[in-house]
Amino acid sequence: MPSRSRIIAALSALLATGPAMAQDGSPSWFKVSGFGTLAATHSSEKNADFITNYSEPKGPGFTRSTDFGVDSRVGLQFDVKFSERFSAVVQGISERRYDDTYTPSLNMAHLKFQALPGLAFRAGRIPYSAYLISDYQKVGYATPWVRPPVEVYQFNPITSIDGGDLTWQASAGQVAFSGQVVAGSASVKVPQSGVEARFKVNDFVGASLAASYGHGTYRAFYGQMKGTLDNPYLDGSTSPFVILRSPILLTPYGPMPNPYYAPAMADQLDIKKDRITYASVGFNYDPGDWFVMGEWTRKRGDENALLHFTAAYVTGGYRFGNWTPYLTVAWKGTDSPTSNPNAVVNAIVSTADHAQSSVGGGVRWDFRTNLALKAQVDRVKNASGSFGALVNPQPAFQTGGTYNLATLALDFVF
Amino acid sequence: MKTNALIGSLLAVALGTAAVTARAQVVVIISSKNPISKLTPDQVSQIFLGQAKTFYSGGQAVPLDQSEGPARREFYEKVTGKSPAQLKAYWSKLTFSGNAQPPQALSDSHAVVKQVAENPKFIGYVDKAAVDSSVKVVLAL
Repeated sequence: MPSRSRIIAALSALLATGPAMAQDGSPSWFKVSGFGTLAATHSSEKNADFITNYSEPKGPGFTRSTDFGVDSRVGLQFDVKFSERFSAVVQGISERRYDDTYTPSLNMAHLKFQALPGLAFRAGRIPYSAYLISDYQKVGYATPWVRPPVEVYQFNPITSIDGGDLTWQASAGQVAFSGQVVAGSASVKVPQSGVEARFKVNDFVGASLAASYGHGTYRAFYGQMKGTLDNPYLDGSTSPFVILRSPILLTPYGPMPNPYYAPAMADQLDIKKDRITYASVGFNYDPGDWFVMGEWTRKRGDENALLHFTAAYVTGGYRFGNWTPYLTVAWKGTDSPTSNPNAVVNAIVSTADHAQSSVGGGVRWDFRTNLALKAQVDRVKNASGSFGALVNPQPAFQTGGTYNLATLALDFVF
Repeated sequence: MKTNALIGSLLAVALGTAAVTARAQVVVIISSKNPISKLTPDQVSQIFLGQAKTFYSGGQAVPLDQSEGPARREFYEKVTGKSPAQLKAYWSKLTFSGNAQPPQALSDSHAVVKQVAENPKFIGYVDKAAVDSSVKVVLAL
């Protein structure tokens, strides 16, 4: 566990600098803060598990009807300012991960150099900000919902990039601009049908531009990466890819021509150093008494047949004092093939359909400073032939179904 | 302490609307060494929300906050349209994405006046009564 010992070393180094100090005007300071969510999530689908992120092995549904782990987490952050220009951030998060433990992982750990008042460079582990709220998607207190809409936020298990970025801020009259150029790599473990797989991102480059004008913020992002899925089963000798790539099948009656032979198709489906591109546009309009926000996102597997998705959502809410009722409409579609006359190809593509739509309503209650209680109900419709956001499907599971989620969440920051 | 708080709340109830009308006026100040003479609410909002790092003149802008209190509440509601909870959520986004920290908070208006006077990069909001010749008012709320 090199990463865990690295966290401990980093934390001890920070703690050794002394107790938490307020920013008392001195150029150097040290600050500890944190966030978390305690949530109970219930699903009406009995034959598969709902998950909020593909790094989670299970959730409410088949495993148990009400689950306390799928939307819960706690994060601790250390900020150090060494001088006017140099600072560092370390953030650890404990949440249910691929192996069904809550072992903390390092979500951020980077150094920041403020070259000019509006220009900074960061190096280390930095947030992966492909979408409007990606870089704080785990902070429930900072978002309207009990979880970011899964149509957009579930698929990519990556929330941080090991690399560097340049962030820039400037204002021109009433418009405040900010931009980011980022490059790096990432690697996360994901559970897949009982085996431990690893999704690797190499050669990631991306750029975003945001403009704030009046009560509105508008943002666009584009990025691309080389994605690799290392899955012991798919990479092994009994993999369907081995069958697709073998011209001859060995049968009890001797070698025979393979009726499923389709090597080009295997290359199309096997996720190995395949170029994947992300594009997203989003906005948030918040004049105070009410807000509306939305996003449209597109993911393309330029060198892979499986990874094409388009997803969007719109959320609106109205603030009655400390009570904020909200409503979300979300949709995710795929233009990847979901069936094929070749039975082996069909077996792969038919399980990769995650198209769904949902309507969710909830209310947020800011009952104490730093504490918010949320209750949310979602009605989710899987598209025909689709598994939607569900994993661990049982034999009785039927694709294209409809189910409900009911969630109670307590968000806190300190 | 408890007795003081009790008397305080009894007074607040007894004075009722009188306390509201008597609420001190909040003004935005910069150092008298800073050449700027006026700022718009939008410009002040951008600086205090971390969206602008410089004054429109180009000089570095560093906002100074106040700890919880009526001046703070009134300032943010009038300039940014955000309630204390909304402001907390706003800074949670920036803090936990590693992008920015909320402005440094000082104990009261007098501490803000003292620090703003020292350097033209500072900008603060204070009770009008605390203003002296070392600082100048660039926006009255």
